[in-house]
Amino acid sequence: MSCREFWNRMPELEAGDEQLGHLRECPACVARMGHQRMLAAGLSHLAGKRQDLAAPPQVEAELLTAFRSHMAGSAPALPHRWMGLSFWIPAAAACFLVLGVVAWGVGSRASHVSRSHIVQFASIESADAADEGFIPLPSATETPSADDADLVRVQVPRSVLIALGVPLAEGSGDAVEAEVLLGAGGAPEAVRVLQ
Amino acid sequence: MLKVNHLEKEMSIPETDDQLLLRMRRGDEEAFLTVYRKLQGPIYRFTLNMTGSATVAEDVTQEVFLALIRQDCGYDSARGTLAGYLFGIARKLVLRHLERSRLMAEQEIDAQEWGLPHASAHHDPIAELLHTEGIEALRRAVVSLPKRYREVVALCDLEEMDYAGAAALLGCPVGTVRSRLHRARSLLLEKLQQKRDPKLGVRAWRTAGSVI
Repeated sequence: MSCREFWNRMPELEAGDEQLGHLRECPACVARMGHQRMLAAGLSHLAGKRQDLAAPPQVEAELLTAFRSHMAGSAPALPHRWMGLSFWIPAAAACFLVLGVVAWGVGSRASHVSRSHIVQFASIESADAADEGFIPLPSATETPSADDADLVRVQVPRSVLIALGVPLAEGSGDAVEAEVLLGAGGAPEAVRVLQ
Repeated sequence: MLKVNHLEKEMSIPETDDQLLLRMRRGDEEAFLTVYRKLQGPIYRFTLNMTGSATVAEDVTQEVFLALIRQDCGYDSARGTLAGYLFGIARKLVLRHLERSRLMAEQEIDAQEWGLPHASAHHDPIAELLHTEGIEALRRAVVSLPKRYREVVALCDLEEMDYAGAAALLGCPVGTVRSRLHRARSLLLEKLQQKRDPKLGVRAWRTAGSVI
């Protein structure tokens, strides 16, 4: 029996007599079998350790609210959670790609701007917006409202920011850390360089 | 009918998916919570194992059950179990998320990889699979697998779904699940070996006996 035949016949790692015969004469397969069994044990251990992982309690509470709302005849009250962001931030990033901007590291680093911060930004004039450091993007179609705006931290290629007319200080590296203000539809409206 | 339902509750006879859904449609919160509490954990963990993100796992879990509440999921008990159907919704959401954020996700995984504590040369990551660091390395290795291999590991190895169930969910033959799983495990071993000595990489592992 060749090594290939041996492995093709025992994907479940349970050797019969014939397979055991091969193992007696093939140290390489013995070693590989040992690793496979160790991996299976590791995966089983990992599964056991994560067995109790579950969605946080607030998910259940929010869904229950949605259920009651739906049963009351209205549309389910969609909890304002990260679903929107985690799905729309990549979409916003795609918009950036159209502009030639590559955004990354958005999902886990994305954060809502606090309401008070947004209110402050929304209520100030454009001159004050500049004070905040946000520079409107050419594609901007709206002034972010207090309720809808989200702030996303991204890495933007230096060349793209220069092309957009964003003044940059001399620095090393091809990418610059920046915050992007997203409008109601998830489209990028303004950018603020952090470095 | 009411008497039967009452009796089932009293005797703790598990209700079928159809019975629970029927009660749910009538506005029975308890039925909804029964379904949710039974299935949210596996769906949450599947998403977590696929994306490596607790935030996305929460979002997907929520979206799956919102679809159930809205009755727009089109579940048909004749075509499979409710669990399988909800897993299917979760999988679609996960794949959509991974596709949309493919570039970012890859970079995040890369960042995680770089953040791994490098095992010293005398440590064997495979031999340490039952220890905390080994388990963590294994978890990260799973998340870094290509999608089609990651999902069979997440379903069959980590959620202990049988091959037939996974095949139904993935829409492929059982043999495909089996071969993907086999390939996935080989890839996991390669990744863990590379952690031990990045210079050796795949080539060294193959010369150590891999023939497939």
